[in-house]
Amino acid sequence: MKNRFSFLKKLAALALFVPVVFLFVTACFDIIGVDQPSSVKAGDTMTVTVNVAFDSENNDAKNKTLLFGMLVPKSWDAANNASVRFDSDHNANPNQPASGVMVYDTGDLSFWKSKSKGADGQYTGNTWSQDMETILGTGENYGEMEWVAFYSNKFVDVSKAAFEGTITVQITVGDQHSGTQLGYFVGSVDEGLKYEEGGSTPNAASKHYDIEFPNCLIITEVADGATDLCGSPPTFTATIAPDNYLFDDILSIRFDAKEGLDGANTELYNSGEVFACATAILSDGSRIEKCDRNLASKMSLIGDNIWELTLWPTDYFGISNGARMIELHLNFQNADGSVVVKNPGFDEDMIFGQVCN
Amino acid sequence: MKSAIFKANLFFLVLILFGCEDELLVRQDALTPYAVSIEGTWELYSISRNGMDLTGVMDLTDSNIEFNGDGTFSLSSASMPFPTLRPSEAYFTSGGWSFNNDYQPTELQFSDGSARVPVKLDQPLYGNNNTTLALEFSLGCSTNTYVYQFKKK
Repeated sequence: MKNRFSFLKKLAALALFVPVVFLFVTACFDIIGVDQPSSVKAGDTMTVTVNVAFDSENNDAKNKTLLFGMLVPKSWDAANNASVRFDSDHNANPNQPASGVMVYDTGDLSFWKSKSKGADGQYTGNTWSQDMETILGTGENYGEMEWVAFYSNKFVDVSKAAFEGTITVQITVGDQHSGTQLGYFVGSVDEGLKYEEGGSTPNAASKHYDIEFPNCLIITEVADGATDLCGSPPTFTATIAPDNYLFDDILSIRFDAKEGLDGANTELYNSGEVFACATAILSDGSRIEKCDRNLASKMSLIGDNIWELTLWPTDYFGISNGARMIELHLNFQNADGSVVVKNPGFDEDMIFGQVCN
Repeated sequence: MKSAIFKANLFFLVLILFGCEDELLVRQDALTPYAVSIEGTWELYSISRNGMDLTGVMDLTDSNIEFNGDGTFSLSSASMPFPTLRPSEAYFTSGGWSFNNDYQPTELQFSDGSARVPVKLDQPLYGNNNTTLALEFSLGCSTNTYVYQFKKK
């Protein structure tokens, strides 16, 4: 009986202790809005403001290190072209104000701030960049993205505080993509990518971090050959020779009927005839479609289910003087058009822009 | 013995004195430089892109260029890929032409008065009686080289 009583006392003590521990380690980061332009010009410096509500949930939270992550195209070279700072009115401890500059994380794992903590709150041995990509993903982009991390260069004291602040990014917009979905992460080096019990952190009441993926950003005045990372991914089903080309060049369009979804054959595998259905997109947004399945669009069999059509876009589409072709959209069809092969996995044409490096 | 040596020396002396041919005479008018002429109509019969022959996959029907003695030229068709037919840049099917050097040209220049489009000669030209003409140029991306072979019609 005495033993049972002793056990109940321990249980009661544990029941009291657990919530205290729970409260002690939790805090809440909540991204309440991202002020990001919907469209920006390549080469410009874009300013993005991430509005954050923080709540320590009445915990002691001295010596915190703020962590910020941003999902950007690799070609933007954010390491050298971005600066980040955080601001708020919270200044309970003037030696550790909740404002200041943030430093780019080089991924040097010998430095404690660069060591990522994963979903279990333990060190993973990876960089923040690596774990953010694995755990948070890359949004609607089909690839060519990276997470870059920044941390506050000084400790922040946010004990028993709840306030709103901003993280401001200034970044030079690259010219290699006409569209991309950026992403934003706000948390702390102390908790990292830790999940709460009962679900993923972003959906939990107490969030060790929060993330936001705004709508795809439109980028104008990009370079020839720029790709839309929010669009269809490149495919090996169709290729264009030579590797570098402008639409003034003579192009050889190649269709490999063996390169379907996940390496399976396309529906035009072993087809007797294949026709190219091509659309020219001009800089003024107009389209010129050549999809008549006529002699001019008939492809030649040059290998094992490999078809080719060589054309000069200027004449093929009848591009008029002064017009500028910026994209070529392609699908491939059999003789009567009953079988159409588009970008595998996407019900869209395969899209090609100019590439001249 | 002395007599034999003397005779041998005499033989070589005669050989030296009379062994040389007469001085080569060159007619002065043979050195007169002639300006290269490509007047006439030239028919395109071969196209290559970066060394790859595209002749068999391109329709070269009615792909002629005419050079006139008054310094003008004209293409028979706007369907022929040609460096003067770039819609986003220079676009003309006729205009003026000139060599960079009338006697030993290495480059041909086309012009419509405002735009100037240079192309390289891929083979040397004679003063007259040229039967083939090879032009080298870029149509679009500068990394791509096209060589067109024409023959005189």
